[in-house]
Amino acid sequence: MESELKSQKDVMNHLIQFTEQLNSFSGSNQQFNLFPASQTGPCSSLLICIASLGFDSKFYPSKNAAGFKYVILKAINTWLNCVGTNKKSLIITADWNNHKFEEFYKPIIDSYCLRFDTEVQIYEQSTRGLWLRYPY
Amino acid sequence: MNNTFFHSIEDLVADFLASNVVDIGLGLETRAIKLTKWSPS
Repeated sequence: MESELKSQKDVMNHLIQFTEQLNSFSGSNQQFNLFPASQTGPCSSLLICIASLGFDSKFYPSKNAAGFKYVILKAINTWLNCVGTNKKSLIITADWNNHKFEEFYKPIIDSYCLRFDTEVQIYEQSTRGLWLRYPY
Repeated sequence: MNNTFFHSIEDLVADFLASNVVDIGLGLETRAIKLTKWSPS
């Protein structure tokens, strides 16, 4: 299938718009936790995180968008606050840095999954499609 | 590692939410979530 996302800018805009779409669902019934979110709520068993910008990008409130580094730190904060409730996490990112991931973040995620019997999946959305980046 | 399992993030998220209806007993209304596919203009 030919990708409709022709450029990295298309990918980022796609994820930003998709985040807004998900916000309408999570806000109405709180069946999953979402970041970036327009509002906060109680812990859910499901967490969805969208990293729409470059890997190390900060959070931009006007776009409600951030990079993987910021998003994964928010996810870790959620995991610590929702121990025993969070069971599965899905993270979608527009940018990927395997070296930084393996050095800084993979050990934390490995420990969280092993210690608390939870599942974390990370996918990269690129112009060439969706790629599973964790677990592998 | 580099295998594409889903054609879109809409499919990916819908599958993630739907699979957990069975696993953890979420309300059936989760199944009704419709994710409209966005395409660049």
